[in-house]
Amino acid sequence: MTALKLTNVSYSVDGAPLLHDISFVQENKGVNAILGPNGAGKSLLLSLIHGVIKPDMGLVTWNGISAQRNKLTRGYVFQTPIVLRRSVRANLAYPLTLTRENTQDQKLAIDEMLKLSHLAPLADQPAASLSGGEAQRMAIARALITKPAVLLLDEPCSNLDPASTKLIEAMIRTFVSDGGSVFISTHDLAQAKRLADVVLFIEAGQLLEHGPADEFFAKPATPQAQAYLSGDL
Amino acid sequence: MTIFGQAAELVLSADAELMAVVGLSLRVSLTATLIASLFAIPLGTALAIWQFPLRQVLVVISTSMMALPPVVVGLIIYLLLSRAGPLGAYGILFTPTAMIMAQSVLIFPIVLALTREAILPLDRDYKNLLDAWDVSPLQRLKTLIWDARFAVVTGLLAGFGRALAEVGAVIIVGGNIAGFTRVMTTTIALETSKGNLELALALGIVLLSIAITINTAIHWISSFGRKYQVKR
Repeated sequence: MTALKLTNVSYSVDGAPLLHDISFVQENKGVNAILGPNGAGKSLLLSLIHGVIKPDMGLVTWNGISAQRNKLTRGYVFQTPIVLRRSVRANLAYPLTLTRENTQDQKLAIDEMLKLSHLAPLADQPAASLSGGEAQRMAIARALITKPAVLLLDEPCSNLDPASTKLIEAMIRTFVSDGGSVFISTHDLAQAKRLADVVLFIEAGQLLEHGPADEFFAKPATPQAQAYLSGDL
Repeated sequence: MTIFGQAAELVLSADAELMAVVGLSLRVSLTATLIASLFAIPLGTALAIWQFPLRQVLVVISTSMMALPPVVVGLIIYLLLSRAGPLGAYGILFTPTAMIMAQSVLIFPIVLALTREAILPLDRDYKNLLDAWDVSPLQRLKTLIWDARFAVVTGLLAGFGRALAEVGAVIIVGGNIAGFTRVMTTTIALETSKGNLELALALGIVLLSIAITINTAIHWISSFGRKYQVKR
């Protein structure tokens, strides 16, 4: 089973440290929630984990291989969905052109993802015409279509209504039940409680807690996590 | 019959001389647009998305080229193709090929600038997504050109319109030879000076109709393309 390993990872911008000396190993299974107050570095940590940015110091590896490589083995979804100026179907097809799937396999994969995301009736519409929730479902389906082992989600449900959130959480659960693992940054504690198996709590660029979600929510170990859960941070 | 009536009759009867001139105009300008686009679209995209030494210098030069006076372009091509020039041995001065060369040079900066303008915002929108997939430089270029296709095509049409309406360069390098290098604009200039207003006017009507068609197409393609753009 692939494992994510961060070794003494630090990242700063213009001399200001945004993430400081983060080390952990996480087996690739279940839902791993990255929690922390605004500005703690959750999105930055996800970007480092995916390898889209390089740490100033330290190493990020997936199963011993640098995170900078093999990015198509992971799916990445942004807080605000990035929509290609194409139809929904063509958006879903795009990553398959990168992995050079044959036409028949592409069609099957697209149909499967349209069904999973409940977007089949909108398949031939311009993706730009989708609502926020629909666009985010399409973005998740597009990330899943290459059958990645890991899905990285950066606050995927912020600004979405409860119905859209429910559909997205169902997509996440289906992916995990099929053996995938998820890293999700969120500041929605209710969502983290519903989904997370493991919590990584960061504050001011430092990883303060890393462990089972049940334990974190029942008995947070650090004063910062206690203050965060009680709404004081 | 008035001059307008005679001109209309020439157009409606598809007069052979008129059609030959229109046909050559379209052939020269379409070929020039195609040739200019082959270079201008990839280069315009590259200037929009890649950082490399002298990039800003190239942007300034290409933008400045948009202001090139057609007669100067005609003169430069003339000097290149004249017998004493470096390409004189090919004997293409006063041929449609020379006209295509001149028009290509005139259209190139227009298509390049409009492509760059279309790609710049799209690259900003797509950058994080394409980075997350580790998309190769060539694939990135193809993706951006395809997704900016409506804006790029309107740029091509603008270039084509410019080529078709141009007179200064093609008259210098083409020589305005009857039945060989005489296009709509140069024929209008010549026939007007000779007082043969009905043919000049008939060509004017055709030229104007093409211009209106091009602008209608630009408007329609732009509207269609906006359906694929995310509202901000």
